[in-house]
Amino acid sequence: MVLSAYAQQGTFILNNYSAYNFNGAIVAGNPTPTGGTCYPLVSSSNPNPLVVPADSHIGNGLALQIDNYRDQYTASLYPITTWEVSTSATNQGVLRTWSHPAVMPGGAVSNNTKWGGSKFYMTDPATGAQVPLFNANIAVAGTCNTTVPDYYTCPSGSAEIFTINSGTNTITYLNIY
Amino acid sequence: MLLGCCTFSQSTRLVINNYSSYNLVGRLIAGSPTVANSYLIAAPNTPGSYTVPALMTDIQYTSFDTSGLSTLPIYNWYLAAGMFPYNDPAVSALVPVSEWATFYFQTKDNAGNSYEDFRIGNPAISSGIGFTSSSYQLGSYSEAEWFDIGGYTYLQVY
Repeated sequence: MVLSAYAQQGTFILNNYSAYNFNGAIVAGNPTPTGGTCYPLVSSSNPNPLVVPADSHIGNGLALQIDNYRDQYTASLYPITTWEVSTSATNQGVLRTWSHPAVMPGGAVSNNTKWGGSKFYMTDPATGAQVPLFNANIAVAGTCNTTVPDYYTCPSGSAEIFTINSGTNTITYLNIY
Repeated sequence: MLLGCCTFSQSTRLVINNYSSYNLVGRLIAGSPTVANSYLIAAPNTPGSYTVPALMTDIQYTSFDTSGLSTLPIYNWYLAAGMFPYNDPAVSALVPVSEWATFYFQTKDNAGNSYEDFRIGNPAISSGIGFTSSSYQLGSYSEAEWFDIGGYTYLQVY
């Protein structure tokens, strides 16, 4: 029998334990890429940057949590209005509103993407100034983005990204310290 | 079972998701850019030409010679030698040869009014059999995209 290519998107949780604001984008991709491609790819597009304030995490109920591309718009503390979707090398960067069928739960894109990475910079909540060296591009180990580390550290803090399988769900955590 | 004997398979399954409120009426075409005269064109289903109804999703064609079993059945294929039932050996013979190429279609409302023309497909495969297509097209009323994930080819219309 032919195996199904379907995989679950899973949940994304960003815990910002640091004293700085997270500013960035989050990216999901194909967890079982074929032919050397990561398509489909989905990244947050609006707001840009996506901001998660200092000291926002599951410990105080202020974490960023995304269960799927659509329902996060009403459920998340930090709603994403528009996703940027690339389905192939020729179908690049199509903007999809959170309610568009292209990104609905159970659709081809949702079923074939899993949270994988982020690029971000941290800012001082009082001044808005960027924190020196506290910016990175990180991705879950073993995903298609093999050149990006899953851990980053600098004098002002650190970040890690990893997945945990919980029952049938996969949770991807991005923790910033 | 003769496992290992016959590893033929066509390259992908086709999944059609029509999220739009238009009927998609036209010619669904498969073929091979390397083997001449190996094309297949879906024969008309109601109302007169191959039609994907408005808002019909999760239509799947696992292979050409099982297309009559789909939720949107294709009972007959036009081949170079004429029209054949989907389960005819002439169709099965093209399963390891041909690939999904393109869907030339018009968006139509239930009254039959046409809105736009789309030529959506795999440009490399369809051009190899004489049909020009693109993998993405944005119209004034609708939008269509064609892409591959794993062993599946998706055609999605919004």
